Amino acid sequence: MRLVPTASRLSEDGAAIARSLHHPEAFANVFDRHFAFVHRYVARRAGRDRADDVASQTFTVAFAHRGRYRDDLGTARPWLLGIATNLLRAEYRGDARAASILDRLEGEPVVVPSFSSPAADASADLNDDNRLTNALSRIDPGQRDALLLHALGELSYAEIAAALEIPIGTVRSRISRACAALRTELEPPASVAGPRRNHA
Amino acid sequence: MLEELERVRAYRDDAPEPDVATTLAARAELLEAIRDEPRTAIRDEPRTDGTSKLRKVQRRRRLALAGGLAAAGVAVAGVLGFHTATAPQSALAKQMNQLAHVAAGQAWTGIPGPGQYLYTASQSLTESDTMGNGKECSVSQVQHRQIWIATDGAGAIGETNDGSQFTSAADRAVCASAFNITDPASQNNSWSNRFPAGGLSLPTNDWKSLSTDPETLLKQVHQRDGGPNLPSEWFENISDFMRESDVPPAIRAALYQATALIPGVKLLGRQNDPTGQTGLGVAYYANGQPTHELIFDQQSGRLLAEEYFDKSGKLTDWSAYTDQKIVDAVPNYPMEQSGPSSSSGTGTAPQPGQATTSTPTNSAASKAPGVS
Repeated sequence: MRLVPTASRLSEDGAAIARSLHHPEAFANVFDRHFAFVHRYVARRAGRDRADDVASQTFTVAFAHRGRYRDDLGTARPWLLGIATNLLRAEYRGDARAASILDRLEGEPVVVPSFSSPAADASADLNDDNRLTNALSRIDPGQRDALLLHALGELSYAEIAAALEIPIGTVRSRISRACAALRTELEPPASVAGPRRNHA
Repeated sequence: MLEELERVRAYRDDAPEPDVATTLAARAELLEAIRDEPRTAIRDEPRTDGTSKLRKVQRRRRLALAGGLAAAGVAVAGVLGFHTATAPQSALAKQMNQLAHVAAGQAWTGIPGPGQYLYTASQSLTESDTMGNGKECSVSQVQHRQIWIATDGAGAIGETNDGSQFTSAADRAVCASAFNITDPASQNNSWSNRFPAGGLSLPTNDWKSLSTDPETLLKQVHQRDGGPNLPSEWFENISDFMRESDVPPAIRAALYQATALIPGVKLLGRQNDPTGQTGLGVAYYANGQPTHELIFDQQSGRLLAEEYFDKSGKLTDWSAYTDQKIVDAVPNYPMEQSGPSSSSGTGTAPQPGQATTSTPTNSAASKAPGVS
């Protein structure tokens, strides 16, 4: 049995994707609706330079696999952010050089891509972001993905569960753990030597 | 937790929107992919990134069965040597020991045989927060979930989400006044998906490597699950291990005993979960308030529910595991999907699988919306 939904029950994204199965150019509507948000999500996670490539790739990957899109959430945004998240993870896994650098940097501050003018680089906010970048780099990747999809991607727990295909209970515990880990990592230097995250 | 979330929400908030040139370049790349696609070959693979996203599913449960496990058939707890020697004798320890004896006396019926699946049905309520400018409001949503997992990792997941609701009248008022949210996305929706071999996994591939000594097992479970080395995390590790799982009776027995070893865990006695299931409750306490409660069926030892509380002790999130059994097949639902699935009313309401053998289940399971 194949599920053939009626167009009237689909969201705008769902209708565009359904139409794109036979009229591929209709997928451009999905791009127009979500590219800016996806790009900014990736830029906040990984920096502007990588955002250009990853955000673009997100939509070509989504287009190639649009036959599996499910419209239960009424928006393609969780699906697209899930793809972007996986691309970032895949890129990280495949980048041995980056991994090697990260290994060497373990315990050292991580260089933060700047989105501000040089004058603003000395601002307290950027210093704060530097510390947060450093802390985020140390927590478990699965926990980090859930946390950033929630905080930066503005997804609900249910949407994260759909995006990452994990139970809500797991989303809940990952975000809770990520916050607890961040709290530890952001503690004053005297306490920083506490337990490290397990990067399984 | 809210403090950390607020901080991350502000993270790199000065990141700009993509400029016109970037947007046009990406759009052109997409249009090129559209032009290049063979009109007759829409890919139907669930992969989204060319990597093994499916293997991310149930990552915590990515524990494909070892070859020996599938052949093991029915194993009894004695094979692993049920641990009793060092159990403390607090009221909590006594109750957990009783649960451990119940589990240890059971045959291991949780192994799906060839062509069979471990089926688990659950409901969860989750709150989502909206915050800013010092104000916060929340909405909640109930999810009904079913999962079928075979020993080779093939299976299916089906979920139905109820419409979101404001958590309270106060939340409704704050959402409206501070964030102009008056309708919290009230539509119901559902989705389902089948997974090929290796797509899902059962958590007991390496059960032979796990100790039946509660203290040792607690360390092992924590090492596998990760997280801060804190009692609250150990409690979370145990619940992680018992969700939608087929943990062998002896390991299950040791897990109950390990629960009693965690500082801050208290016995709550008989408790009802939000779906009406009744069982033995234990909770981890911080600052005099429960933060995470587990409810176990005293007849089967099965995890019935888990509940999460905020700092004031108010119940915020919960999951109730309403049914678990071995079934012969995934029913017609979930069905093949060739395109976007509709959100409601298309005959995708979850239906339970056919039971052939069953662990003891609570009668409340049949009352669970989305399961009956």
